Amino acid sequence: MNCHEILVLGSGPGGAITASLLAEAGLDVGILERGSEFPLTSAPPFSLDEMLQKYNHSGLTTAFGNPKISYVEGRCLGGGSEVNAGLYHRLPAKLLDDWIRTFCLKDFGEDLLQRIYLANERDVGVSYMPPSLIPSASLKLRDGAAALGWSSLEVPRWFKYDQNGVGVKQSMTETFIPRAKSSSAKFYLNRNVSKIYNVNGSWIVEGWTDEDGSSSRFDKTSFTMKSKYLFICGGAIGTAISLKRNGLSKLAGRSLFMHPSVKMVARFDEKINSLGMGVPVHQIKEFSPRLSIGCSISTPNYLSLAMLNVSGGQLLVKKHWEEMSVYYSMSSEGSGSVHSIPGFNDPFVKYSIGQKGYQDALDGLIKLGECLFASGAVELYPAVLGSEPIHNMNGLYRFVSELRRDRLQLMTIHLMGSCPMGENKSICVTDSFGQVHGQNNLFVNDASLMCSALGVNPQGSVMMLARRNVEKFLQEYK
Amino acid sequence: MSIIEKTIESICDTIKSDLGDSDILISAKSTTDDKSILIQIACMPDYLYPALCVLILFFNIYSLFVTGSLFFNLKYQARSAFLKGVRALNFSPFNDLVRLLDSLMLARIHLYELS
Repeated sequence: MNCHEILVLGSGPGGAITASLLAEAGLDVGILERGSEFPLTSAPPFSLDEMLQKYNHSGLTTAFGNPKISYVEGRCLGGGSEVNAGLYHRLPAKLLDDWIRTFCLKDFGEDLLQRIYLANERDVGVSYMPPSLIPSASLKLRDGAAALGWSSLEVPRWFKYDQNGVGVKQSMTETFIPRAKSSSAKFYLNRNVSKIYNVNGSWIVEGWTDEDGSSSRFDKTSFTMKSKYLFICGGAIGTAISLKRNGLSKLAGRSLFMHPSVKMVARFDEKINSLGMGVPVHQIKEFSPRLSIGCSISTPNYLSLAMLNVSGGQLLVKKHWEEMSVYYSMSSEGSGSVHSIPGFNDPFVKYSIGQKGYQDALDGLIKLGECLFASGAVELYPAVLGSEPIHNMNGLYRFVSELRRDRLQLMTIHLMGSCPMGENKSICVTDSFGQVHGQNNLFVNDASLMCSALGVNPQGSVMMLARRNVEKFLQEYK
Repeated sequence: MSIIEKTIESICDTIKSDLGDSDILISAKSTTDDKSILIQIACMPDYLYPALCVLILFFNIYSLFVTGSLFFNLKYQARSAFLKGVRALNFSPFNDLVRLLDSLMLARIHLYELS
């Protein structure tokens, strides 16, 4: 049995920062990760190879509801930071008061968090894309917003650029994980945790190794590890199911928040796309937090998938992909839950967008269309069942007015809020600093802690919470 | 090879051939590997796999009812026509199955076409 003073389950933005800061403070830290280690460049970003290597269930994950929502999570050393776009937002200030009031959060004022944001932003190199690299597809969104008098912004990213303007994403394997390793933290890869329990004040973690990534329990080698302190940082779904399945919290997984996004392809009469374009950086926040509008990865394969429902869509992509790009409208509506099905290992996720989320999706398509036509789009293709080419706003109004909820095709990469934090024990799984209510020395430190949907990419907020909670832990530890 | 695997491979082959025959993606026929789709499907959440197996059995029963043969025993032209009919059906489970395989095939085709 391997023993450490502290075990951290998960190596995504929450887990990597937790492990790194604790190891740098001189503590004996072991980190368990379900996936394998891959260099950042092991597969082209957003490619099929990357999905097969680094995504949980190779990207085939769905939250059930009407409509179903496809979601993806990282499953590799570095977790979601290895597969996301690297767009950085702080926690929206307008949420703080609501969280403090409703969830009775302690020490969560904006001034208190400022120092923590700055430390993380320095460590992951949050910066703006050099102007010469901003893709035309991104500028189209900015121009459309300007024409309509809407506010838009350029979103910074955790990227570092060399003198030639070549950027490298500062994911966890480029930043906090090397720091943890150089501070003698020990990493255990391909470890699936099946059981967590406490014996005489020590946390015991049991599971099996998963060298081939098949997730099956059969023909696997089992392991047992022991620690005094345990941090669970398995992401919104993984953390909730670990607490729930092991009877460590009755409230874990009763809530779940996402940002369901509906997509639309726009074709312009000029080239706006190229193979190396990556993820554009402009977003429209005029309707935030209810709706956020942005530009998505638009490689030919993603364009093809977005055009799957359009008759002749594949031929259009083949001929015109350089004039096309994928845009999205993202809502913060709805709520979900995480469940354990007896006899099965993988968590079952439910999510309902509700009537308001349905209306937001329709409104998002309208707003997206207005912006794209204002920026010069000649044709739009909503990525929904029964899609058809749309040439003007009247056509879009007619199409949207007839769009049934079950024809929406929603997806998300933002999952959060399955174990909300705060002192209100009737709704919170952990205290204000991530310690699980009713459990000694058991902590959560990842996106699960969010009290509601953020309306923006949550990684900046996850990193802030992780550092804040570790600092509090170290104060009390001493 | 099981009925499940045969059916998935046949659907993928039909999707691939439909794209290749219409000259949309010229090398689609020769370059993509249906076996890798079976591997990816095996990675899906464990509770989905039994549901997928049941769905594929129903898919074959429907094929038997409509065409007189199990789907994977049909010739390409008949498979293509049957799949077109399934796409037009307003039956969500079959639509989901075909769309899943459509997506997986397209991702693979583009991997070879544009990488």
